[in-house]
Amino acid sequence: MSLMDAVGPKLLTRLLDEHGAAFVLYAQQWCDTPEDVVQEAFLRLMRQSEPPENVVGWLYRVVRNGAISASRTAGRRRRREAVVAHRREPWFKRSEADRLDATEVTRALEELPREKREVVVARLWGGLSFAEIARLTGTSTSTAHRHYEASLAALRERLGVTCPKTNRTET
Amino acid sequence: MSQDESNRDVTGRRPDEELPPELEAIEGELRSLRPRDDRLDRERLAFLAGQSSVIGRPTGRGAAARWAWPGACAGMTAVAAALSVALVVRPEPRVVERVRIVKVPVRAQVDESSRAGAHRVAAAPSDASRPASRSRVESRGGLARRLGRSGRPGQADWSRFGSRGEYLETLDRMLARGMDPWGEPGAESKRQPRLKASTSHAPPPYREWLKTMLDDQARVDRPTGPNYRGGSS
Repeated sequence: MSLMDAVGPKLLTRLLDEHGAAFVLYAQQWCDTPEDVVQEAFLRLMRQSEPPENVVGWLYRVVRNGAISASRTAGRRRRREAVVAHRREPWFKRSEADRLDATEVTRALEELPREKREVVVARLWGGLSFAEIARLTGTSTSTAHRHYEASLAALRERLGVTCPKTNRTET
Repeated sequence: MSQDESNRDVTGRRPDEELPPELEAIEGELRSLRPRDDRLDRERLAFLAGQSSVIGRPTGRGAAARWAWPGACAGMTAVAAALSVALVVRPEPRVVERVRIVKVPVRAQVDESSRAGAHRVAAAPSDASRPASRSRVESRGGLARRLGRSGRPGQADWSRFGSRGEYLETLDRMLARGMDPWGEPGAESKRQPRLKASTSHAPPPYREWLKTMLDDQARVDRPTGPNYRGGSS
């Protein structure tokens, strides 16, 4: 019996709603075709006879492996063309309420080293803990935390975000 | 609830994961951004998921049928490879040498002068009808008796053979088989007094035997021989 038989399409819909976009953004850190990688990861999940203990963590691992594999098989020319094309469209939805510009954030993220950018994406938009990120990337928790802090500092400097004075003291 | 989860605050962060205030600000700003969700084709993904749950899952006879041809192909490939290797590394065929004795019937030369002993030739079975063991090998003592006690061709008892031709044929046959036609068990020292001078312990070489036999043969062929019948044989 597959996972589709056990849980049905409800689980698939919920995972897509809550994590689909984050999976695509995470896979985009390596390859040019993140949609195919995420789709294949979901299909692999549906073929499992029993659901993994941590479905989201399992999916992040499968997406990461698939994206790395796809980046290795893609040609250099194709990668270069895709990178140029992706730079023109931001990774995030445009919203008037956001203080940050989606295009600027995308460019700032692209300037980060891949191992640090991976931690930021998994933490901010994937919602993973540092322990999960450490297991996912094969590093220690402290290393993941250090990468996260360093990346935030670099993004803050790059985007020019000021520190509000009423942050932690009032809460 | 594990200890790791109990140590987290309301934001899901552990105390050692706290960030400086300036980084918390940029973290909040970045978290407010939403990744694009229009890149994933949900309908197609749902369709493929349903399709794979039905078609892509081989069960029962379907699974066996799916692996039947690949398995057969792999098996035959393995057999072909094994036979190819065996063909290359097989050992050379072993050559077996077998000595086969072909019986050739010998026509006995009947001597007119020895008609008296013709009944013996007629009574004795021929080589073809004689048992193989007897025709091939004759006991040493028996031949010595037929050849005479002295063991010399010149002193042979011709009457024990059907003819002189049979006698010579017997000699040739025995010499061809490496047998001593004049030998007699226990009489080696008496039969070879001449050769003892040259070889005291070892048997005389074949050439000396041949020379002796030829000398004896020449003595027999002399007209003064005791069994000479005037060359009519």
